[in-house]
Amino acid sequence: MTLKEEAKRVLNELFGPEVAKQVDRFDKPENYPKDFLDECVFFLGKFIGDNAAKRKFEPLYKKYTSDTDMQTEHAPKTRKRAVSIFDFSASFSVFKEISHNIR
Amino acid sequence: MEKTHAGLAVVGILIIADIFLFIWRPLGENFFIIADLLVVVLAFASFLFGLYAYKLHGFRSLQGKALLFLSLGIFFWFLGESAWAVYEIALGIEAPIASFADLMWYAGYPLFIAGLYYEWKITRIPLTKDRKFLAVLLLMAVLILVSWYGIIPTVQNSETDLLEKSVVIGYVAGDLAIMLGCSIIIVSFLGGKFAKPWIIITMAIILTSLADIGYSYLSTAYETGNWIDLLWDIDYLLLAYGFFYYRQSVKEIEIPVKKKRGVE
Repeated sequence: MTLKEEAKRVLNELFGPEVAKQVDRFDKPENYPKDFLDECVFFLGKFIGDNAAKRKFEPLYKKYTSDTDMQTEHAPKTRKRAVSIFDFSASFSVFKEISHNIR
Repeated sequence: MEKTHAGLAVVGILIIADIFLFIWRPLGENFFIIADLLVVVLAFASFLFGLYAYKLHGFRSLQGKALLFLSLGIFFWFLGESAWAVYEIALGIEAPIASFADLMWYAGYPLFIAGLYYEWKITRIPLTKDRKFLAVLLLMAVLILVSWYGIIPTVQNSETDLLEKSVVIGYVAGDLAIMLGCSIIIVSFLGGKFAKPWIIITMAIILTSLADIGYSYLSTAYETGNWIDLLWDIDYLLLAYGFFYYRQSVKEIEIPVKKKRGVE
């Protein structure tokens, strides 16, 4: 079963074929699985709210998106902050500020 | 959203017309004939709008099942209204408490609750940990306290027998169960387009509950054409509007815009 078929099945179980066929208008799931799933969540979120929609598609995210995709989506905030410390431009501006103060 | 606004305007006009009808009271003593027939028509209209919403999904989907059961519940209430009208208009039996009409109304409750159950299955939100759910429970406690004042006079009424008391009190209990269900659905759909139609449907059920509390309070003193009948009329109007609003809002749900990319 392809991602598109699985996403259709989720929507079909909830709201029937008329709603499920809207999936055909989303991004190509073969090329952009995460974008496709994001669109599914956005669409279902319009019906039942974002949180409930995310829960419905969570198994498909786990199955079809890569670890990096998952990290950007679900990584804890502390980790994001840690990454920003090592951001080159940020480090450079801090260095510039320190050197300016020394002078 | 033009159609939903137009629908709301129609509902508003019908409510105002209904209020004027109850003030004017054509046919005098026989006003009950109009009141009986009016609620039958409105209940049937509400059932039809339920089917109109159901047709969008079909029976295989959870939402389809939910809407069909809700509509069937309303259909049985329509049968109850019709039976009551037949008793009063054709058979000349005034306010037939504990009759076939009550049997039909009661049959509507489990169907309506089944509809709510399927609706909840769509999100399956674990409500016990939700603060909003606790707030709803608090609201329910208040409503139960308020209902108590409708129940006590019925219990103490010496003119009604045990069966009549049970029938009248049963409505208040059934309404509270439905209201609790509707509140759970609203909490679980918050943030989505479904919350609004459910707020409208819950408002309808609150009006029914108030009417049933009034009915329970009046008990044997109730006569068709009483002002509380207005609440039932508005209840069916709001149910119809809730289903109409639902169908329109589903139609208007936007499709996500594809990201701009280079040549694929």
